Amino acid sequence: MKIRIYKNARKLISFAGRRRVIFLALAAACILTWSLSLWAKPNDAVPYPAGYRLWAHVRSALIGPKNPAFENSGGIHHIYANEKAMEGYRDGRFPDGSVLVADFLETRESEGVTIEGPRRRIDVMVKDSKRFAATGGWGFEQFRGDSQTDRLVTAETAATCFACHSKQKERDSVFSVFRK
Amino acid sequence: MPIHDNTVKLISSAKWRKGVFLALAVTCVMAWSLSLWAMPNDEIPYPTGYRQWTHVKSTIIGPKSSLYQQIGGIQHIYANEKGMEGYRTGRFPEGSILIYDFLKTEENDNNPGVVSEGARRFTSVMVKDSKRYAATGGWGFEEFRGDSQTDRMIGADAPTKCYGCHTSQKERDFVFSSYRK
Repeated sequence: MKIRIYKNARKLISFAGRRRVIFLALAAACILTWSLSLWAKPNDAVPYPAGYRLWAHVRSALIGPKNPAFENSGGIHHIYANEKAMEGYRDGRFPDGSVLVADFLETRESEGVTIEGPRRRIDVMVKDSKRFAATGGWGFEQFRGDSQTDRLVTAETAATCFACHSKQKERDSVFSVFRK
Repeated sequence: MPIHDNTVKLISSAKWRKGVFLALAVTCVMAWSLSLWAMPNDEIPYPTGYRQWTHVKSTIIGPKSSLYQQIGGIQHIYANEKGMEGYRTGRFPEGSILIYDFLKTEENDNNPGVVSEGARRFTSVMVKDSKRYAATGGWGFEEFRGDSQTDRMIGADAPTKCYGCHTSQKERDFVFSSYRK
């Protein structure tokens, strides 16, 4: 009888020990998966540029039906820059942390007057010379419509973004100029 | 004796110079204060730095519009921080400044269908100061021609040239535009 109790007690202890091990293993697995998911999501490198509508307005242009870009980007677009990027427009070198946003809106025309319509997408460029060393120090992203999560740029299309922007190498891969 | 004489002369000459200097200084300060006082105090200052303010919205007036000859091109509205508060709350606080920037537009044959910004036609300014501009809804109105900071196009004509139309927006504190998110 005594021995039996002893045996049960040992079983109980070993059961608790096992649960602990299982729990720890599960926790470790969770943390690992989470870190892996972070590591595997290269898109998150360019965060949604919260508050960009209050930044400095760099310039604007209208893309009309006669332009080949009309289907994808037709309408009015405005470029906005955060303070660091404004430094870049001034001295030609955009410091790390510079963010540029090209805001693409549809347009509505009535009797010769064109007004702004819904947002097509925003294009974002973020300067981080270490993280984006392969693409001139710039990270590229697009967000569909008013969404802050619906991302349109993949690793391949980011390379396409840079392929064109790299033509502006002597201007730190930026096309636009601040219109005074 | 001659040495003593010279010393006295030197001292008095220094005093004399001091007196002249002080008199000149006082005259300068007085003239400057008078010039400030004599400036028409309802004159709207040029809105230095407005290009860094918040962009409210834009419109384009094309060749099909009857307004094209006069103001055709692209227009951007900018607001200072107080002006932004006004767009949020519907009441524009004292010190609110709104800018209506009129630019011409250009088209380039190398890039067909793209309309880009050209030269500045003029910059329209609204400044909120309920006491100073009590007669025109608390808003002062001015326009600066081209890129000039001194060539004023409105002056004393604000009641007829500007307020006459803005008065239709009384329930919106005389402002037509809304902030486009």
